[in-house]
Amino acid sequence: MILVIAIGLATGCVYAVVAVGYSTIYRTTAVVNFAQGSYVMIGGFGTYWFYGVAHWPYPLAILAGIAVAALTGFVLWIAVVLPLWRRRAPSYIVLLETIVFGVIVSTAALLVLGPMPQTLPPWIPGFALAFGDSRVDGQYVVVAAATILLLGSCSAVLRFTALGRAMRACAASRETSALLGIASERIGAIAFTATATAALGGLGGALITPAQFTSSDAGLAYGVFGFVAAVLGGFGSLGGALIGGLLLGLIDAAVGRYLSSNYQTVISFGILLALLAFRPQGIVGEQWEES
Amino acid sequence: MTGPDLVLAKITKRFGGLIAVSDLSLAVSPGSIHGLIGPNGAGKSTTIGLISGFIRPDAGSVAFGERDLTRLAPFAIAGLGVARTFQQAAPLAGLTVYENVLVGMHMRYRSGLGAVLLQMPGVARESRAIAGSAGELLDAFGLAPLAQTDAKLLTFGQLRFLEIARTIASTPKILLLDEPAAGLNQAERDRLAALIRGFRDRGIGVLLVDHDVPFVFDLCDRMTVMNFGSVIAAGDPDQVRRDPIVRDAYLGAEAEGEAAT
Amino acid sequence: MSEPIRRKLERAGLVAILAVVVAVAIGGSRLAVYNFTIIALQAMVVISLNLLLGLAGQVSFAQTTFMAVGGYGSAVLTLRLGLNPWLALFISAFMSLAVALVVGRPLLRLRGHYLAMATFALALGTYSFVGAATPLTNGSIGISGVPPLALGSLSLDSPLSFYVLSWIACGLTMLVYAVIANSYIGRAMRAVATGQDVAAALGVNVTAYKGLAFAIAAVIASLAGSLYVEFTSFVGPDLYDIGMVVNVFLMLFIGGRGSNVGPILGAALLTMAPQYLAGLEQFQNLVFFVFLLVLILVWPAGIFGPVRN
Repeated sequence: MILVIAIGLATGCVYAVVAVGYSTIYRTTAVVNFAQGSYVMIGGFGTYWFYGVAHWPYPLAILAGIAVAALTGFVLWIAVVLPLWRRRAPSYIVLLETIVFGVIVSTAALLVLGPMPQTLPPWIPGFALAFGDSRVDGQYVVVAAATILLLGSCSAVLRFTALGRAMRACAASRETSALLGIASERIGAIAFTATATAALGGLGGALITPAQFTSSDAGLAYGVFGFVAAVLGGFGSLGGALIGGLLLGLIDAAVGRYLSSNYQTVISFGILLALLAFRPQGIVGEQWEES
Repeated sequence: MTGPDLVLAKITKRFGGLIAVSDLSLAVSPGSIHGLIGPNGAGKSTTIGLISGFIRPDAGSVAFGERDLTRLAPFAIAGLGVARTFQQAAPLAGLTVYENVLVGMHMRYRSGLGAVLLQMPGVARESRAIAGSAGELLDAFGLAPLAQTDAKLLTFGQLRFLEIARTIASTPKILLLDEPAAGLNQAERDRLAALIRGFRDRGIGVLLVDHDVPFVFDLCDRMTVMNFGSVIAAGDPDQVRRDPIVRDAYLGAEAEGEAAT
Repeated sequence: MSEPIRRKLERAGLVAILAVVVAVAIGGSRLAVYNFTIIALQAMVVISLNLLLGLAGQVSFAQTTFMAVGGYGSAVLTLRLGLNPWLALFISAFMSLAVALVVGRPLLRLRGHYLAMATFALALGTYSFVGAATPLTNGSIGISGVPPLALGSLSLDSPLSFYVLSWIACGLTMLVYAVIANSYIGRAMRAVATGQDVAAALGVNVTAYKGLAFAIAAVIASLAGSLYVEFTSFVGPDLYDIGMVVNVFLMLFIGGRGSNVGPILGAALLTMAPQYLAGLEQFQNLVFFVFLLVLILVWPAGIFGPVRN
């Protein structure tokens, strides 16, 4: 039971990070980026490559993995979303392209790293907590702590720095931007957002992989769960992303433990469908405008 | 002429904390023009939305003869003969002017899906008849030369007349005009006024909502004035024009209007 | 290109397609007959999406859901209940219709992004479900040995007979699309796509027309799904994975919406292209998807796209 909660909260944190990515990108650009989950996979798998294959020191490998994720986010923005946006392509085309991009990323990962799931060493070796009879892998705690730290600093950046103000300005004039095209100074802030959320996702991947495994098709799973989490909490809301992520993580862990892991995805989709059909605003309930 | 009235009884609508329309009652009789004026934000466009089913009232009722329109969907209300235009004249983009008018005549088509799929002869006959009527309507509105043009390429004025043509195509008994004169030049306004008088003469009941106060005064048989969602005056246009409450409400708005023109 | 030229091109395109189909039937190699059968069945699904998205403007990623109902329905009804394959085909189509009506009700109230994501969730959820519901669907292993269709005593399991059947089905689908598109029903759908409120104000029952488009598209996709499973005698979850979801969309957008030529063009391109890339072996998938990504980037309207965009 304790284990279920630990797993649930930890994976929930990763879902939350992905969900924050979805919501942030949506708020600033009105784009739903279905490749969001891929960054988690890149973070985990990439770190594995730098550490396990290229034999870099572990901390450096983690940074490299995150850097690759960030770069991927940047490339997606510059090479795919921006041109489509400039050409006023309809939103579902942009959506489709992000999906295709995600497929490309996982196919490439499969080619480079092979089909075997891989794992990583824990961040704090030997760290484990004991709760009565159960022993909880310390990595879960690391994940939770790191996520809280991260999201807290993100929130601070948004609220207190000039960059944060620029991002919030983008969010506010998102609709006008979508209609009239964006001013060039905004592009910088948006590109930064895309890269930063990718980096965050990558970090999430590097964090969770020691506790579980990762493989080339993990991107889709995280993308889906992260999306459900975002909608559950309230799409476009950062607080909602956290709530949704943690809640979904717990639900998933419970389903995996007490029912069967086969049904995790099905139930997540069921939740998503029900949400979108009956309560699209999610828990926090911010009404996000449709494009 | 004969036919039932469109009757609004004590319509109220709140958006969050804001009262958009409060306790509004009015009636539109067939063969007459009922003007609805008021300063910006008085609730005029909301009223049209409430009548036509796009907005649900919080209290009150809308009735057309014996039918209660209050909870009906917009298409059903249009089906009962109460049609509306939109403030932002929206073309059905991607369809030609001719096709736009044909959509206006949508309710005349009686063939079912099965008949269409099997291409039964009645379907083609019906199409031809309706196409003929559409051609006539385009001629009457002077839109025939533009028939094959994509509607999104029209000028603002042309669009406005297309919208009215399309709405008339649905053979309404009651016509709700939402700021039809906005953005039109004087010649277009005169054409519009003549059209509206023509509708009245053919027995249609018109609810005319507009900012252009002289325009409305010139045309209407009865008038209602709103401010902040409530009715502040109603009745004969001349009486309303002399009502001090109305002048008060408009003092600021008129000055703005004069400065603008 | 202008409308009259486009219409001439479309007519020429249809004639060309007919010519190719006949030519392959008469003198085509086994591989060509096989490929073109697949193309016909894929094209059916793309045309169904053309009706739903191109005509009625409803962005739905869920056509694979109905393909799965058709495919698994045919397999299960013939193998487990011993039903005649034709009967199974129609019962599955009917089940798809039921699902479309039930699911469509809440989903079609959504607009834009919401609808796209909800239908995407439905499609992926279907994939997960058929992989997980082992008692019914045999899980990730799939169901094999699906018996072929039969016409009286003639078993339609020869490649050529299935080829003919598939193209007849595709032809009928094209006819359905053309007839609807050119009728007041198609016009009403286009009005819903471009100006939902205006359409409602003119008496168009928006909900009903969206539902109709969704239902027709579902039935067509279901029939295509059933035929495909009858053709290959096998059904499994991977037939309906994210690749297929994306594929259907890509076929429509690369071929072009707004006519019957585009979907067939798109289906042909995306069915044949991987084979030309086969030489690249393990890079095949990667190159393929990158190529598609770039194609849509350059050409969001598609090759045979509508005049206006």
